Amino acid sequence: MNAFAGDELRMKPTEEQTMLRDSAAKYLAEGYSFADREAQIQAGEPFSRPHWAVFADMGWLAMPFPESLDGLGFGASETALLCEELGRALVREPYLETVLLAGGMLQRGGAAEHVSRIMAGEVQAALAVTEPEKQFSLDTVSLSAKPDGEGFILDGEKTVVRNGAVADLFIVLARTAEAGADGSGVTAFLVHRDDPGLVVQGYPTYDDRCAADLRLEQLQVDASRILGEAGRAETLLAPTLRHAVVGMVAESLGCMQALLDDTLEYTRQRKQFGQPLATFQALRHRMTDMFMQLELTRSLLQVTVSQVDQDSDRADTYVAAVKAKSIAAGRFIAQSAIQLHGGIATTNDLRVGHYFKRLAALESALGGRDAHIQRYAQLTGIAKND
Amino acid sequence: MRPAATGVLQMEYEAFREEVRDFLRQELTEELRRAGSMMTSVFAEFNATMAWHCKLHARGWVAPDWPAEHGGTGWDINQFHIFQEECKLAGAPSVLPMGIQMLGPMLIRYGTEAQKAHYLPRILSGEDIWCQGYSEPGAGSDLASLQTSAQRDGDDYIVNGSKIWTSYAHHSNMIFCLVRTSREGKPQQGISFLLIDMATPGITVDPITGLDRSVEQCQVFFEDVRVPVANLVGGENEGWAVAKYLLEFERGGQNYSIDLKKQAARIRRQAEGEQGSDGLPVLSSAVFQARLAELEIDMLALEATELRIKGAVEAGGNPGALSSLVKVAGTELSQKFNQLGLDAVGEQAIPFQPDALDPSAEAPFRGPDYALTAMAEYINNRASTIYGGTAEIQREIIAKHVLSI
Repeated sequence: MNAFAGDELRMKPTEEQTMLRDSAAKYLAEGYSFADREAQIQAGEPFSRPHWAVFADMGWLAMPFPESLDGLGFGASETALLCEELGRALVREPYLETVLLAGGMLQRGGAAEHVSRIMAGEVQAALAVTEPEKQFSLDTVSLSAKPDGEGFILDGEKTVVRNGAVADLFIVLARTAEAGADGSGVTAFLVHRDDPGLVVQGYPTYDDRCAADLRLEQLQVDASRILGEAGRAETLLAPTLRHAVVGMVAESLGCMQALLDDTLEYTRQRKQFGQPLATFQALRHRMTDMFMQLELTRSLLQVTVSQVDQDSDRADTYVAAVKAKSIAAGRFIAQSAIQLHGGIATTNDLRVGHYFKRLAALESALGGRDAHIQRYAQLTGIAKND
Repeated sequence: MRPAATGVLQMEYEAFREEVRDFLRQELTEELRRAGSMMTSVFAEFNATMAWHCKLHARGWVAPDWPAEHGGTGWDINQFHIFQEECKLAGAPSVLPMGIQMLGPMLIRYGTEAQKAHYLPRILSGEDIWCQGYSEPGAGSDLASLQTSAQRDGDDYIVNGSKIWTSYAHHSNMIFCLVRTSREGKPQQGISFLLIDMATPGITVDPITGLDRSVEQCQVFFEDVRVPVANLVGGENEGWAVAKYLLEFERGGQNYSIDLKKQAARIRRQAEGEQGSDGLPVLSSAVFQARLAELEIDMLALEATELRIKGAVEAGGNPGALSSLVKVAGTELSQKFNQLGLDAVGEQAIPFQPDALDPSAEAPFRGPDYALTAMAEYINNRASTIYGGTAEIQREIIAKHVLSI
């Protein structure tokens, strides 16, 4: 392991945060092995229910929810600490999808009873935004929702809904009005897996998780299924995304840290030309660059976390920045880790390649590189909004 | 770009291009085209690859750059380029490089008359499928430290050891190997080059599962494997020169720019099909346009460099250390294209559908076809800066042998 100077750069966590991080790290180090994970994948299990039950017992599933809902009331700082550990241990259980994304929408949309079930580990959930041949964006949502008495009839498709293959609950975004300049016009609906008219086509994903394509055929929902206010999904989505992106970047950071650690360890041991790989200057510089990119991303995440927790005006700018930065850093670090390991990292047997795949799959979640760069440019006035 | 061809010559090239297109129209079936367009590494699906190999062989075009006396075509550099370009752009699968591109030219240069007479026709016909036994678990970048031993015993060598990253060993009936025949002097001085029949007792093949969960690589084990001394290529302990000559063809013999053109065309199609977060096609985004244009410019520079090198080879040289330049530039650029391809298709890259990538299965798949290979290409192509000598080793070769530093 590397006891590098980066430790000194880190913000001092509170006692509670330290406990949380240490207990997560300890449990995952002892109870979450790469070999078991691979055996479950081979057996076709989309995630481990026993692990999920432990996550509930540890309180992880209740962390981001307010105490008024019997949650732990933690902020982005704490979820980031947990997600970093989940990333480092290559956890494939859908914390991001069920708890931060779908759970975040349910909580903000006033669906307390479903939040309770998520906290208890009883249900899996998924947020369905993206539609075929479109990238993630609220603006391009076009799934139709036609008023029908007190309720609506939903009709259309969603694609690559992460965790969708196992989700019991879906938060489906549908267009109920023309897009307003304030982002209004989209409504968030709660759809149950067994609702008549819902067709779920599930499949595995490259990061050994699952997703689904949804087809909603004349699916009837009553008004109780509307989360928050009709036509105002953006008021739920914006704060949910801020917290979820923070969690996602923290998870990426955990992956990057593991990749750097593994690469340092491997190049110290592996000898070619009679000496450890770690003595070759070209490789030393590459690993130094990996370390620098990791710590730069970590710093930006820390500032972003506090901006989000303070609900600052600049939070969205930082969120866009840190997502773009983590994609660039993640690519460089993951690609370098494979390059420096050589052929052995292109096999299924080493965990290096699995971190690589997880980072690649996370890139496009909640909007990709170019989308976040463009968003940053708009929020900072580099690009003029017209 | 290409050497200027004017007048009569220009017309001849156009006629030649038509001839190639006619051949492709007749022989490149829909299934073969699918196999070519679904390649996610340097290899196409095996059965389709060999079916295409046989069709090319029947036409006399399977090894176009071999000397005509050994079954090549006698084409000039422009014809060769036109042929490769048309095949790629039409979506033809690649031919396995180990026999045609690597071993063949090496045997032509270093093989005995008997070896040439026996092996070259069998490479051309596809009767022999070759794999390459170079790397070992302990000898990757430091290839010369290889330990697989061959001990002389009468008219045989007895081979013991193991080779790794042996592409397609599980499909091959023959393997060419670097083996240690002496431990005297510098490590390079005790290496010999052996041709080994995979059916010989004592050989076992372990497939290695890749990151996309498919098998291309293997580890091959040798336990007291008897190989006739007649299967030595070059002299005993003189295998290093043979190996290096072959590596130059492995690295430089490829036309990376043609593959890159195919990649660029695919990315345009992906970026036209997919809408960005602003609701417009990804290709209409200024950020994306600039990235693609920049990569295409690098692609043109690489193409021009490849043609310069091919010109030198045609004039009688071998690619030498410049093959390292092409290999580093080509593979690293290709990886950047893969990255851009991922950005183009967004979340459509993440569904894992291995059955849909098997051209013979005709399995239904979900999502747009333009996104099907994006993630597998991104993953599998990471190996390209590792195999055939890592990018780091190639840079050392350029520093040493081109820059003399």
